[in-house]
Amino acid sequence: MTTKPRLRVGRVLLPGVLAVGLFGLMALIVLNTSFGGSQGFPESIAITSELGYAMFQLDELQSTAGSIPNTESFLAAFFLIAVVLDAALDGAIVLAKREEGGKPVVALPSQRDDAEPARSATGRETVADGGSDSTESVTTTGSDADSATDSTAAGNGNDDNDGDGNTGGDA
Amino acid sequence: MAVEVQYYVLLSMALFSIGLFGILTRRNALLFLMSVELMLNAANINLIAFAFYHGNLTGQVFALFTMALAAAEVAIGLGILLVLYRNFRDVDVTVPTTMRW
Repeated sequence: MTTKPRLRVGRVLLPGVLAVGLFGLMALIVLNTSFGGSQGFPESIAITSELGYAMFQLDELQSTAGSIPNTESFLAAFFLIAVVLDAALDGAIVLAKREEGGKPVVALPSQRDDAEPARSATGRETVADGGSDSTESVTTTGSDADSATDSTAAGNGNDDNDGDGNTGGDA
Repeated sequence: MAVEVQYYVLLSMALFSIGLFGILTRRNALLFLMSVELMLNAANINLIAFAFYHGNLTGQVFALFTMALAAAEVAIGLGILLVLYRNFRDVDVTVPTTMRW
């Protein structure tokens, strides 16, 4: 069974009609305005290289014979945009950072987490692909940072006990 | 033969109106981002069309800068969307009301 798009009526109908009406009004104004012919660019000029020269303020490289007049240089704007993009990258990283218990959660930790020996000490293997182990139910809520350290201590205690038990079992 | 400039303006107005329609009627934050992109691209079409109309390259260079600004806006927007989903388990823009008014 296929579903076809339906026109939603109700609360969103009035803003939608407003947007369509705005297009109608603007189209009416534009179609009744005489713009005249376009000036266009000269045939002998490479537009792309001229764009590059204008962007990096390379005025002496711009073609002079039959050139495109009144093209401004945009070096300051280029650096401003570079700074804005850098700030946006930092902002996106800050927004996407996830913290649990006051410590940021990273996808590929460079150091072993303190909680990891506790898990392996209890006999459960660390899942290599980053998925959660099906045999344990670790609830990572924000308030269990203290309990995580407690379980670490408990896990270390269990580590000795398990090791003794295993060696005893082997002997 | 070059297309007359009024058809470029009509195209950009249609794109702008589609973006405005999306912003006014949708509640999904992803569709909001897409609609804002449509409106920014409408501005780009106007800039490039009038650069050709005046025989001047300033509009084309400025359109490049607008694209970079759109990329920055999308980066921040997707970050906000991540936080929105993390806090509310939803990307409906009408759900978070604590910063309203």
